[in-house]
Amino acid sequence: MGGDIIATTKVVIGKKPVKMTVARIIFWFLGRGFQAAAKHDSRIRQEVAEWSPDCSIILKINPRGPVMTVRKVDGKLKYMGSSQPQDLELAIYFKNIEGAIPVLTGQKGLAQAYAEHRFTLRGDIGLGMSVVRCMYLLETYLFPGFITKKILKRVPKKQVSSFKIYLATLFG
Amino acid sequence: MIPDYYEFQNSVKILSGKKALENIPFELYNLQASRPIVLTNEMLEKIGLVQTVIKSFAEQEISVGAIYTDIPADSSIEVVNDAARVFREQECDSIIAIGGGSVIDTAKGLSIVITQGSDDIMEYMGSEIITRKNPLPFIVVPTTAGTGSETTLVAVIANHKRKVKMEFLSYNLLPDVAVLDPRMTTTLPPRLTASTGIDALSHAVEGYTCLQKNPLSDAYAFAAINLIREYLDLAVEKGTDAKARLAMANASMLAGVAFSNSMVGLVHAIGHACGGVSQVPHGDAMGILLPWCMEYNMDKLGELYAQLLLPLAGADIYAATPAEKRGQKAADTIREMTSRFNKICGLPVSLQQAGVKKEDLGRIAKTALNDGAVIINPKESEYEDILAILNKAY
Ligand SMILES: [Fe+2]
Repeated sequence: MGGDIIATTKVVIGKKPVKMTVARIIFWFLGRGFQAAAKHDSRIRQEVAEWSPDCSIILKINPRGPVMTVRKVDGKLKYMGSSQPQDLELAIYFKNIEGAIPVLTGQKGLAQAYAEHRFTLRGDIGLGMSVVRCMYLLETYLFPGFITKKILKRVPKKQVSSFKIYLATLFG
Repeated sequence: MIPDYYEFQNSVKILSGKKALENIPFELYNLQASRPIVLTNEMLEKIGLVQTVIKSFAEQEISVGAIYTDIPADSSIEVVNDAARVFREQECDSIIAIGGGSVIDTAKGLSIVITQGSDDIMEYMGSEIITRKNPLPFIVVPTTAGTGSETTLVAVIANHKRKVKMEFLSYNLLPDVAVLDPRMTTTLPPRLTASTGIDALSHAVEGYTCLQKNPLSDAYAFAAINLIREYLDLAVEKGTDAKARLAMANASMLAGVAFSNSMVGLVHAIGHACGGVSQVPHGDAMGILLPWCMEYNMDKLGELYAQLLLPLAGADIYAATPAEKRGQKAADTIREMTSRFNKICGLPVSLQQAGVKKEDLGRIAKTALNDGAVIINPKESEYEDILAILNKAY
Protein backbone atom coordinates (compact mmCIF):
# COMPACT_ATOMS: atom_id res chain seq x y z
CA MET A 1 0.00 0.00 0.00
CA GLY A 2 2.77 2.47 -0.84
CA GLY A 3 1.85 6.07 -1.51
CA ASP A 4 4.03 5.98 -4.63
CA ILE A 5 1.47 3.80 -6.43
CA ILE A 6 -1.17 6.48 -6.08
CA ALA A 7 1.29 9.13 -7.14
CA THR A 8 2.00 7.41 -10.44
CA THR A 9 -1.53 6.30 -11.28
CA LYS A 10 -3.54 8.55 -13.52
CA VAL A 11 -6.93 9.05 -11.85
CA VAL A 12 -9.75 9.15 -14.33
CA ILE A 13 -12.83 11.13 -13.33
CA GLY A 14 -15.88 9.30 -14.64
CA LYS A 15 -18.89 10.54 -16.55
CA LYS A 16 -22.62 10.08 -16.06
CA PRO A 17 -24.00 10.46 -19.57
CA VAL A 18 -27.46 9.00 -18.89
CA LYS A 19 -28.22 11.20 -15.90
CA MET A 20 -26.83 14.25 -17.64
CA THR A 21 -29.04 13.59 -20.66
CA VAL A 22 -32.09 13.11 -18.45
CA ALA A 23 -31.32 16.38 -16.72
CA ARG A 24 -30.87 18.18 -20.04
CA ILE A 25 -34.26 16.99 -21.28
CA ILE A 26 -36.03 17.91 -18.06
CA PHE A 27 -34.41 21.34 -18.04
CA TRP A 28 -35.83 21.91 -21.50
CA PHE A 29 -39.28 20.85 -20.28
CA LEU A 30 -39.03 23.04 -17.20
CA GLY A 31 -37.95 26.06 -19.19
CA ARG A 32 -40.60 25.69 -21.86
CA GLY A 33 -43.16 24.73 -19.24
CA PHE A 34 -42.31 27.74 -17.10
CA GLN A 35 -42.87 30.00 -20.10
CA ALA A 36 -46.18 28.31 -20.86
CA ALA A 37 -47.45 28.30 -17.28
CA ALA A 38 -46.48 31.95 -16.86
CA LYS A 39 -48.82 32.70 -19.73
CA HIS A 40 -51.77 30.64 -18.52
CA ASP A 41 -51.61 30.75 -14.71
CA SER A 42 -52.46 34.11 -13.17
CA ARG A 43 -50.50 33.36 -9.98
CA ILE A 44 -47.24 32.82 -11.87
CA ARG A 45 -48.02 35.89 -13.99
CA GLN A 46 -48.43 37.86 -10.78
CA GLU A 47 -45.10 36.62 -9.40
CA VAL A 48 -43.29 37.50 -12.63
CA ALA A 49 -44.96 40.93 -12.68
CA GLU A 50 -43.20 41.78 -9.44
CA TRP A 51 -39.73 40.88 -10.71
CA SER A 52 -37.59 43.71 -12.00
CA PRO A 53 -37.68 44.37 -15.77
CA ASP A 54 -35.17 42.25 -17.75
CA CYS A 55 -34.73 40.02 -14.70
CA SER A 56 -32.91 36.86 -15.69
CA ILE A 57 -32.64 33.69 -13.70
CA ILE A 58 -30.64 30.54 -14.27
CA LEU A 59 -30.79 27.05 -12.95
CA LYS A 60 -27.57 25.14 -13.42
CA ILE A 61 -26.05 21.86 -12.39
CA ASN A 62 -22.47 22.48 -11.38
CA PRO A 63 -19.84 22.38 -12.60
CA ARG A 64 -20.54 21.92 -16.28
CA GLY A 65 -24.28 22.17 -16.74
CA PRO A 66 -26.87 21.65 -18.06
CA VAL A 67 -28.28 25.14 -17.73
CA MET A 68 -31.79 26.55 -17.96
CA THR A 69 -32.27 30.28 -18.33
CA VAL A 70 -35.45 32.32 -18.17
CA ARG A 71 -35.73 36.05 -18.65
CA LYS A 72 -38.43 38.66 -18.28
CA VAL A 73 -38.85 40.31 -21.68
CA ASP A 74 -41.47 43.05 -22.13
CA GLY A 75 -43.18 41.92 -18.92
CA LYS A 76 -43.42 38.28 -20.05
CA LEU A 77 -41.40 35.29 -18.98
CA LYS A 78 -39.29 33.82 -21.75
CA TYR A 79 -37.26 30.60 -21.86
CA MET A 80 -33.79 31.43 -23.13
CA GLY A 81 -32.39 27.93 -23.53
CA SER A 82 -28.98 27.44 -21.97
CA SER A 83 -27.58 30.91 -22.56
CA GLN A 84 -25.76 32.31 -19.53
CA PRO A 85 -26.28 36.07 -19.51
CA GLN A 86 -23.92 38.37 -17.61
CA ASP A 87 -26.63 40.35 -15.82
CA LEU A 88 -27.98 37.46 -13.76
CA GLU A 89 -30.30 38.44 -10.96
CA LEU A 90 -30.64 35.00 -9.47
CA ALA A 91 -28.68 31.82 -9.97
CA ILE A 92 -29.58 28.48 -8.50
CA TYR A 93 -26.67 26.04 -8.69
CA PHE A 94 -27.11 22.39 -7.86
CA LYS A 95 -23.87 21.22 -6.29
CA ASN A 96 -23.83 18.10 -8.45
CA ILE A 97 -25.95 15.91 -10.69
CA GLU A 98 -26.87 13.49 -7.88
CA GLY A 99 -28.42 16.29 -5.85
CA ALA A 100 -30.38 17.54 -8.84
CA ILE A 101 -31.85 14.31 -10.25
CA PRO A 102 -34.28 13.56 -7.38
CA VAL A 103 -35.64 17.11 -7.62
CA LEU A 104 -35.90 17.09 -11.41
CA THR A 105 -37.62 13.72 -11.49
CA GLY A 106 -40.15 14.57 -8.82
CA GLN A 107 -38.78 12.41 -6.02
CA LYS A 108 -37.91 15.31 -3.77
CA GLY A 109 -39.42 18.74 -3.22
CA LEU A 110 -37.47 21.96 -3.68
CA ALA A 111 -37.91 22.95 -0.04
CA GLN A 112 -36.43 19.64 1.11
CA ALA A 113 -33.55 20.01 -1.35
CA TYR A 114 -32.88 23.52 -0.02
CA ALA A 115 -32.96 22.20 3.54
CA GLU A 116 -30.43 19.55 2.54
CA HIS A 117 -28.13 22.20 1.02
CA ARG A 118 -28.39 20.51 -2.40
CA PHE A 119 -28.11 23.84 -4.17
CA THR A 120 -26.56 27.21 -3.59
CA LEU A 121 -28.34 30.42 -4.36
CA ARG A 122 -26.70 33.58 -5.65
CA GLY A 123 -28.85 36.68 -5.40
CA ASP A 124 -31.84 37.95 -3.46
CA ILE A 125 -33.36 35.16 -1.37
CA GLY A 126 -36.76 36.92 -1.57
CA LEU A 127 -36.66 36.54 -5.34
CA GLY A 128 -35.60 32.94 -4.76
CA MET A 129 -38.80 32.39 -2.76
CA SER A 130 -40.85 33.80 -5.62
CA VAL A 131 -39.19 31.35 -8.02
CA VAL A 132 -39.83 28.49 -5.59
CA ARG A 133 -43.54 29.38 -5.51
CA CYS A 134 -43.59 29.46 -9.32
CA MET A 135 -41.87 26.06 -9.43
CA TYR A 136 -44.48 24.60 -7.07
CA LEU A 137 -47.22 25.74 -9.43
CA LEU A 138 -45.30 24.53 -12.44
CA GLU A 139 -44.75 21.12 -10.86
CA THR A 140 -48.48 20.88 -10.23
CA TYR A 141 -49.03 21.07 -13.98
CA LEU A 142 -46.09 19.01 -15.18
CA PHE A 143 -46.05 16.16 -12.65
CA PRO A 144 -48.89 13.70 -12.04
CA GLY A 145 -50.92 14.14 -8.85
CA PHE A 146 -49.42 11.24 -6.92
CA ILE A 147 -45.99 12.86 -7.26
CA THR A 148 -46.98 16.41 -6.35
CA LYS A 149 -48.84 15.10 -3.34
CA LYS A 150 -45.59 13.60 -2.13
CA ILE A 151 -43.22 16.48 -2.84
CA LEU A 152 -45.37 19.54 -2.13
CA LYS A 153 -46.43 20.45 1.37
CA ARG A 154 -49.77 21.49 -0.08
CA VAL A 155 -50.84 20.99 -3.71
CA PRO A 156 -52.17 24.21 -5.29
CA LYS A 157 -55.31 24.19 -7.46
CA LYS A 158 -54.86 24.13 -11.22
CA GLN A 159 -56.29 27.09 -13.12
CA VAL A 160 -56.09 25.34 -16.49
CA SER A 161 -55.63 21.69 -17.41
CA SER A 162 -52.20 20.10 -17.44
CA PHE A 163 -52.96 19.08 -21.03
CA LYS A 164 -53.12 22.72 -22.06
CA ILE A 165 -49.79 23.47 -20.39
CA TYR A 166 -48.25 20.38 -22.03
CA LEU A 167 -49.45 21.49 -25.45
CA ALA A 168 -48.08 24.97 -24.90
CA THR A 169 -44.81 23.51 -23.61
CA LEU A 170 -44.33 21.29 -26.65
CA PHE A 171 -45.69 23.49 -29.40
CA GLY A 172 -46.39 26.93 -27.92
CA MET B 1 -35.65 10.08 13.63
CA ILE B 2 -32.71 10.17 11.27
CA PRO B 3 -32.98 12.32 8.13
CA ASP B 4 -32.08 10.75 4.76
CA TYR B 5 -29.44 13.41 4.44
CA TYR B 6 -28.31 16.44 6.40
CA GLU B 7 -25.39 18.80 6.82
CA PHE B 8 -24.20 20.35 10.05
CA GLN B 9 -21.41 22.65 11.03
CA ASN B 10 -20.56 24.42 14.23
CA SER B 11 -16.91 25.31 14.24
CA VAL B 12 -17.15 28.14 16.78
CA LYS B 13 -14.93 27.74 19.83
CA ILE B 14 -16.85 28.67 22.96
CA LEU B 15 -15.28 30.36 26.00
CA SER B 16 -17.92 30.42 28.71
CA GLY B 17 -17.70 31.68 32.27
CA LYS B 18 -16.04 34.01 34.72
CA LYS B 19 -13.06 35.93 33.35
CA ALA B 20 -13.67 34.53 29.89
CA LEU B 21 -12.83 37.95 28.41
CA GLU B 22 -9.27 37.73 29.72
CA ASN B 23 -8.63 34.86 27.32
CA ILE B 24 -9.31 36.91 24.18
CA PRO B 25 -5.64 37.94 23.69
CA PHE B 26 -4.61 34.28 23.83
CA GLU B 27 -7.25 33.37 21.27
CA LEU B 28 -5.98 36.16 19.00
CA TYR B 29 -2.46 34.86 19.42
CA ASN B 30 -3.73 31.37 18.63
CA LEU B 31 -5.29 32.75 15.44
CA GLN B 32 -2.07 34.62 14.68
CA ALA B 33 -3.54 38.08 15.08
CA SER B 34 -2.56 40.97 17.33
CA ARG B 35 -4.28 44.11 16.08
CA PRO B 36 -8.07 43.76 16.13
CA ILE B 37 -10.66 46.31 15.18
CA VAL B 38 -13.37 46.42 17.86
CA LEU B 39 -16.88 46.81 16.46
CA THR B 40 -19.56 47.94 18.87
CA ASN B 41 -22.12 50.71 19.34
CA GLU B 42 -22.20 54.01 21.21
CA MET B 43 -24.60 52.79 23.86
CA LEU B 44 -22.38 49.89 24.83
CA GLU B 45 -19.41 52.19 25.02
CA LYS B 46 -21.33 54.67 27.16
CA ILE B 47 -22.42 52.07 29.70
CA GLY B 48 -18.84 50.86 29.99
CA LEU B 49 -19.07 47.37 28.47
CA VAL B 50 -16.44 48.12 25.85
CA GLN B 51 -14.14 49.38 28.61
CA THR B 52 -14.70 46.14 30.53
CA VAL B 53 -13.40 44.20 27.54
CA ILE B 54 -10.44 46.51 26.90
CA LYS B 55 -9.49 46.45 30.59
CA SER B 56 -9.48 42.67 30.52
CA PHE B 57 -6.52 42.90 28.09
CA ALA B 58 -4.31 44.45 30.80
CA GLU B 59 -0.75 43.08 30.97
CA GLN B 60 -1.16 41.22 27.70
CA GLU B 61 0.44 41.72 24.33
CA ILE B 62 -2.26 43.14 22.13
CA SER B 63 -2.85 46.46 20.43
CA VAL B 64 -6.35 47.53 19.49
CA GLY B 65 -6.23 49.05 16.01
CA ALA B 66 -9.52 50.92 16.29
CA ILE B 67 -12.76 51.03 18.21
CA TYR B 68 -15.61 51.54 15.77
CA THR B 69 -18.81 52.58 17.57
CA ASP B 70 -20.83 54.05 14.73
CA ILE B 71 -23.17 51.08 14.25
CA PRO B 72 -26.93 51.79 14.19
CA ALA B 73 -29.65 49.36 15.27
CA ASP B 74 -29.92 48.08 11.70
CA SER B 75 -26.68 47.10 10.02
CA SER B 76 -26.28 48.57 6.55
CA ILE B 77 -23.87 48.32 3.65
CA GLU B 78 -22.73 51.92 4.20
CA VAL B 79 -21.67 51.12 7.76
CA VAL B 80 -19.94 47.93 6.64
CA ASN B 81 -17.95 49.78 3.97
CA ASP B 82 -17.05 52.57 6.39
CA ALA B 83 -15.83 50.05 8.96
CA ALA B 84 -13.78 48.41 6.19
CA ARG B 85 -12.14 51.78 5.45
CA VAL B 86 -11.14 52.14 9.12
CA PHE B 87 -9.97 48.50 9.23
CA ARG B 88 -7.63 49.10 6.29
CA GLU B 89 -6.44 52.55 7.42
CA GLN B 90 -5.52 51.24 10.85
CA GLU B 91 -3.96 48.08 9.41
CA CYS B 92 -6.03 45.76 11.55
CA ASP B 93 -5.69 42.00 11.24
CA SER B 94 -8.78 40.68 13.04
CA ILE B 95 -12.27 41.55 14.28
CA ILE B 96 -13.73 41.63 17.77
CA ALA B 97 -17.47 42.28 17.73
CA ILE B 98 -18.97 43.40 21.05
CA GLY B 99 -22.74 43.70 20.87
CA GLY B 100 -26.01 42.18 19.77
CA GLY B 101 -27.42 41.17 16.40
CA SER B 102 -26.69 44.32 14.39
CA VAL B 103 -23.08 44.64 15.57
CA ILE B 104 -22.41 40.98 14.84
CA ASP B 105 -24.09 41.21 11.43
CA THR B 106 -21.96 44.27 10.63
CA ALA B 107 -18.88 42.33 11.67
CA LYS B 108 -19.85 39.46 9.37
CA GLY B 109 -20.33 41.99 6.55
CA LEU B 110 -16.92 43.48 7.30
CA SER B 111 -15.43 40.02 7.20
CA ILE B 112 -16.91 39.49 3.72
CA VAL B 113 -15.49 42.79 2.41
CA ILE B 114 -12.01 42.14 3.80
CA THR B 115 -11.68 38.42 3.01
CA GLN B 116 -13.22 38.64 -0.46
CA GLY B 117 -11.42 41.90 -1.24
CA SER B 118 -14.51 43.52 -2.67
CA ASP B 119 -16.39 46.68 -1.69
CA ASP B 120 -19.57 45.49 -3.31
CA ILE B 121 -20.81 42.74 -1.04
CA MET B 122 -24.06 42.62 -2.97
CA GLU B 123 -22.48 40.04 -5.30
CA TYR B 124 -22.09 37.63 -2.37
CA MET B 125 -25.76 37.76 -1.49
CA GLY B 126 -27.47 34.41 -1.20
CA SER B 127 -26.78 30.99 0.20
CA GLU B 128 -23.35 29.33 0.23
CA ILE B 129 -21.76 31.74 -2.24
CA ILE B 130 -18.91 32.96 -0.04
CA THR B 131 -15.88 30.70 -0.24
CA ARG B 132 -13.08 30.62 2.30
CA LYS B 133 -10.51 33.17 1.23
CA ASN B 134 -7.83 34.89 3.34
CA PRO B 135 -9.37 33.81 6.66
CA LEU B 136 -9.76 36.74 9.04
CA PRO B 137 -9.69 35.98 12.78
CA PHE B 138 -13.13 36.84 14.13
CA ILE B 139 -14.13 36.89 17.80
CA VAL B 140 -17.62 37.69 19.07
CA VAL B 141 -18.58 38.91 22.53
CA PRO B 142 -22.39 38.93 22.70
CA THR B 143 -24.02 41.54 24.97
CA THR B 144 -27.55 40.20 24.66
CA ALA B 145 -28.70 36.65 25.20
CA GLY B 146 -31.04 35.99 22.32
CA THR B 147 -29.96 36.38 18.70
CA GLY B 148 -27.44 33.56 18.84
CA SER B 149 -25.61 35.35 15.99
CA GLU B 150 -22.32 34.29 17.55
CA THR B 151 -22.95 30.76 16.30
CA THR B 152 -24.99 31.33 13.14
CA LEU B 153 -24.01 31.29 9.49
CA VAL B 154 -26.28 34.16 8.54
CA ALA B 155 -25.98 37.93 8.28
CA VAL B 156 -28.69 40.38 7.26
CA ILE B 157 -27.49 43.73 6.03
CA ALA B 158 -29.65 46.53 4.64
CA ASN B 159 -28.97 48.21 1.34
CA HIS B 160 -30.87 51.48 1.77
CA LYS B 161 -30.13 52.71 -1.74
CA ARG B 162 -31.77 49.71 -3.35
CA LYS B 163 -34.24 49.29 -0.50
CA VAL B 164 -33.45 45.65 0.09
CA LYS B 165 -32.36 43.57 3.03
CA MET B 166 -29.47 41.51 1.80
CA GLU B 167 -29.18 38.03 3.24
CA PHE B 168 -25.88 36.19 3.38
CA LEU B 169 -25.72 32.55 4.38
CA SER B 170 -22.40 30.80 4.49
CA TYR B 171 -20.58 28.49 6.86
CA ASN B 172 -17.61 30.75 6.22
CA LEU B 173 -19.37 33.50 8.19
CA LEU B 174 -19.15 31.54 11.44
CA PRO B 175 -16.92 33.35 13.94
CA ASP B 176 -13.80 31.61 15.21
CA VAL B 177 -14.53 32.23 18.88
CA ALA B 178 -17.57 33.26 20.95
CA VAL B 179 -16.88 34.64 24.41
CA LEU B 180 -19.72 34.27 26.92
CA ASP B 181 -18.85 36.27 30.00
CA PRO B 182 -21.59 37.05 32.56
CA ARG B 183 -20.19 40.59 32.93
CA MET B 184 -21.46 41.35 29.45
CA THR B 185 -25.16 40.79 30.13
CA THR B 186 -25.72 41.68 33.81
CA THR B 187 -26.81 45.24 32.92
CA LEU B 188 -29.43 44.16 30.38
CA PRO B 189 -32.79 45.52 31.66
CA PRO B 190 -35.56 43.00 32.56
CA ARG B 191 -37.76 43.85 29.57
CA LEU B 192 -34.93 43.24 27.10
CA THR B 193 -33.77 40.17 28.99
CA ALA B 194 -37.25 38.68 28.62
CA SER B 195 -37.61 39.66 24.97
CA THR B 196 -34.21 38.36 23.88
CA GLY B 197 -34.61 35.22 25.99
CA ILE B 198 -37.87 34.44 24.19
CA ASP B 199 -36.07 34.96 20.90
CA ALA B 200 -33.60 32.27 21.92
CA LEU B 201 -36.53 30.04 22.88
CA SER B 202 -38.10 30.57 19.46
CA HIS B 203 -34.81 29.58 17.80
CA ALA B 204 -34.72 26.37 19.79
CA VAL B 205 -38.38 25.50 19.11
CA GLU B 206 -38.10 26.25 15.39
CA GLY B 207 -34.69 24.62 15.19
CA TYR B 208 -36.18 21.46 16.67
CA THR B 209 -39.07 21.35 14.22
CA CYS B 210 -37.95 22.71 10.85
CA LEU B 211 -37.20 20.77 7.68
CA GLN B 212 -33.48 20.49 8.21
CA LYS B 213 -33.62 19.23 11.79
CA ASN B 214 -31.08 16.52 12.56
CA PRO B 215 -29.73 14.68 15.60
CA LEU B 216 -27.08 17.32 16.25
CA SER B 217 -29.35 20.35 16.02
CA ASP B 218 -31.89 18.48 18.16
CA ALA B 219 -29.36 18.07 20.96
CA TYR B 220 -28.52 21.77 20.91
CA ALA B 221 -32.20 22.81 20.88
CA PHE B 222 -33.05 20.56 23.81
CA ALA B 223 -30.13 21.80 25.88
CA ALA B 224 -31.07 25.41 25.14
CA ILE B 225 -34.69 24.98 26.25
CA ASN B 226 -33.62 23.24 29.45
CA LEU B 227 -31.49 26.24 30.38
CA ILE B 228 -34.25 28.70 29.45
CA ARG B 229 -36.73 26.89 31.68
CA GLU B 230 -34.31 26.89 34.58
CA TYR B 231 -32.86 30.37 34.28
CA LEU B 232 -34.84 32.86 32.17
CA ASP B 233 -37.23 33.86 34.96
CA LEU B 234 -34.33 34.38 37.34
CA ALA B 235 -32.39 36.44 34.78
CA VAL B 236 -35.45 38.66 34.26
CA GLU B 237 -36.20 39.10 37.95
CA LYS B 238 -32.67 39.29 39.30
CA GLY B 239 -30.40 40.59 36.57
CA THR B 240 -27.31 40.59 38.76
CA ASP B 241 -27.38 36.82 39.16
CA ALA B 242 -24.22 35.87 37.25
CA LYS B 243 -25.16 32.20 37.02
CA ALA B 244 -28.53 32.99 35.43
CA ARG B 245 -26.87 35.39 33.00
CA LEU B 246 -24.24 32.86 32.00
CA ALA B 247 -26.89 30.17 31.59
CA MET B 248 -28.95 32.42 29.30
CA ALA B 249 -25.86 33.37 27.27
CA ASN B 250 -25.32 29.63 26.80
CA ALA B 251 -28.95 29.01 25.93
CA SER B 252 -28.80 31.71 23.28
CA MET B 253 -25.59 30.29 21.84
CA LEU B 254 -26.94 26.71 21.83
CA ALA B 255 -30.18 27.77 20.17
CA GLY B 256 -28.09 29.68 17.63
CA VAL B 257 -26.27 26.49 16.69
CA ALA B 258 -29.60 24.66 16.41
CA PHE B 259 -31.29 27.11 14.08
CA SER B 260 -28.18 27.91 12.10
CA ASN B 261 -28.25 24.28 11.03
CA SER B 262 -31.94 23.51 10.81
CA MET B 263 -33.10 27.05 10.05
CA VAL B 264 -36.10 28.94 11.34
CA GLY B 265 -39.62 28.77 9.96
CA LEU B 266 -42.98 30.43 10.08
CA VAL B 267 -42.55 32.25 13.41
CA HIS B 268 -39.51 34.06 12.10
CA ALA B 269 -40.98 34.72 8.67
CA ILE B 270 -43.95 36.50 10.27
CA GLY B 271 -41.80 38.04 13.00
CA HIS B 272 -39.40 39.60 10.50
CA ALA B 273 -42.38 41.03 8.66
CA CYS B 274 -43.81 42.50 11.90
CA GLY B 275 -40.44 44.19 12.41
CA GLY B 276 -40.18 45.43 8.84
CA VAL B 277 -43.71 46.77 8.52
CA SER B 278 -44.60 47.81 12.09
CA GLN B 279 -41.21 48.03 13.86
CA VAL B 280 -42.10 45.39 16.44
CA PRO B 281 -38.88 44.44 18.28
CA HIS B 282 -37.84 40.97 17.14
CA GLY B 283 -38.05 39.18 20.50
CA ASP B 284 -41.43 40.75 21.28
CA ALA B 285 -42.78 39.47 17.97
CA MET B 286 -41.42 36.00 18.74
CA GLY B 287 -43.17 35.85 22.12
CA ILE B 288 -46.47 36.94 20.62
CA LEU B 289 -46.36 34.68 17.55
CA LEU B 290 -44.67 31.52 18.80
CA PRO B 291 -47.70 29.88 20.52
CA TRP B 292 -50.07 30.79 17.67
CA CYS B 293 -47.73 29.43 15.02
CA MET B 294 -47.24 26.26 17.07
CA GLU B 295 -51.00 25.80 17.09
CA TYR B 296 -51.10 26.38 13.33
CA ASN B 297 -48.39 23.75 12.83
CA MET B 298 -49.86 21.37 15.41
CA ASP B 299 -51.35 18.82 12.99
CA LYS B 300 -47.95 18.41 11.32
CA LEU B 301 -45.58 18.95 14.23
CA GLY B 302 -47.64 17.99 17.28
CA GLU B 303 -45.44 15.04 18.08
CA LEU B 304 -42.27 17.12 18.07
CA TYR B 305 -43.85 19.85 20.17
CA ALA B 306 -44.94 17.11 22.57
CA GLN B 307 -41.28 16.07 22.95
CA LEU B 308 -40.38 19.68 23.72
CA LEU B 309 -42.76 19.74 26.67
CA LEU B 310 -40.09 17.89 28.65
CA PRO B 311 -37.46 20.66 28.54
CA LEU B 312 -40.13 23.40 28.47
CA ALA B 313 -42.07 22.37 31.56
CA GLY B 314 -39.84 19.84 33.32
CA ALA B 315 -40.20 16.13 34.01
CA ASP B 316 -43.12 16.31 36.47
CA ILE B 317 -45.48 18.22 34.20
CA TYR B 318 -44.38 16.17 31.19
CA ALA B 319 -45.15 12.92 33.00
CA ALA B 320 -48.47 14.21 34.33
CA THR B 321 -49.69 15.28 30.87
CA PRO B 322 -51.33 12.61 28.69
CA ALA B 323 -49.32 11.99 25.52
CA GLU B 324 -51.92 13.42 23.14
CA LYS B 325 -52.11 16.68 25.08
CA ARG B 326 -48.40 17.36 25.36
CA GLY B 327 -48.10 19.32 22.10
CA GLN B 328 -50.80 21.78 23.08
CA LYS B 329 -49.42 21.92 26.62
CA ALA B 330 -46.07 23.00 25.16
CA ALA B 331 -47.70 25.98 23.43
CA ASP B 332 -49.61 26.79 26.61
CA THR B 333 -46.42 26.66 28.68
CA ILE B 334 -44.88 29.31 26.42
CA ARG B 335 -48.03 31.43 26.76
CA GLU B 336 -47.80 31.22 30.54
CA MET B 337 -44.17 32.26 30.35
CA THR B 338 -44.86 35.35 28.22
CA SER B 339 -47.80 36.44 30.37
CA ARG B 340 -45.57 36.16 33.44
CA PHE B 341 -43.12 38.51 31.73
CA ASN B 342 -46.01 40.73 30.72
CA LYS B 343 -46.78 41.25 34.42
CA ILE B 344 -43.17 41.59 35.56
CA CYS B 345 -41.80 43.90 32.87
CA GLY B 346 -44.49 44.68 30.32
CA LEU B 347 -43.52 42.26 27.56
CA PRO B 348 -46.38 42.54 25.02
CA VAL B 349 -48.49 39.42 24.51
CA SER B 350 -50.55 40.62 21.55
CA LEU B 351 -49.77 42.48 18.35
CA GLN B 352 -52.10 45.23 19.48
CA GLN B 353 -50.08 45.69 22.68
CA ALA B 354 -46.96 45.79 20.51
CA GLY B 355 -48.37 48.80 18.68
CA VAL B 356 -49.31 47.11 15.40
CA LYS B 357 -52.15 48.78 13.51
CA LYS B 358 -54.92 46.43 12.45
CA GLU B 359 -54.87 47.77 8.88
CA ASP B 360 -51.20 46.74 8.54
CA LEU B 361 -51.87 43.02 9.03
CA GLY B 362 -52.35 42.47 5.29
CA ARG B 363 -49.06 44.07 4.47
CA ILE B 364 -47.31 42.05 7.17
CA ALA B 365 -48.74 38.82 5.75
CA LYS B 366 -47.60 39.72 2.24
CA THR B 367 -44.09 40.57 3.45
CA ALA B 368 -43.88 37.35 5.45
CA LEU B 369 -44.67 35.31 2.36
CA ASN B 370 -41.43 36.51 0.73
CA ASP B 371 -39.25 35.59 3.68
CA GLY B 372 -36.79 32.78 3.14
CA ALA B 373 -37.93 31.15 6.37
CA VAL B 374 -41.34 30.28 4.87
CA ILE B 375 -40.12 27.39 2.75
CA ILE B 376 -38.28 25.80 5.66
CA ASN B 377 -41.48 25.59 7.70
CA PRO B 378 -42.72 22.01 7.39
CA LYS B 379 -46.31 23.11 6.86
CA GLU B 380 -47.17 25.14 3.80
CA SER B 381 -48.59 28.57 4.49
CA GLU B 382 -50.23 30.94 2.09
CA TYR B 383 -51.35 34.52 2.44
CA GLU B 384 -54.69 33.64 4.06
CA ASP B 385 -53.08 31.27 6.56
CA ILE B 386 -50.64 33.91 7.72
CA LEU B 387 -53.33 36.56 7.91
CA ALA B 388 -55.42 34.22 10.07
CA ILE B 389 -52.49 33.73 12.47
CA LEU B 390 -51.95 37.50 12.63
CA ASN B 391 -55.60 38.10 13.42
CA LYS B 392 -55.50 35.56 16.24
CA ALA B 393 -52.34 37.13 17.64
CA TYR B 394 -53.79 40.62 17.44
FE1 LIG C 1 -34.82 35.25 16.15
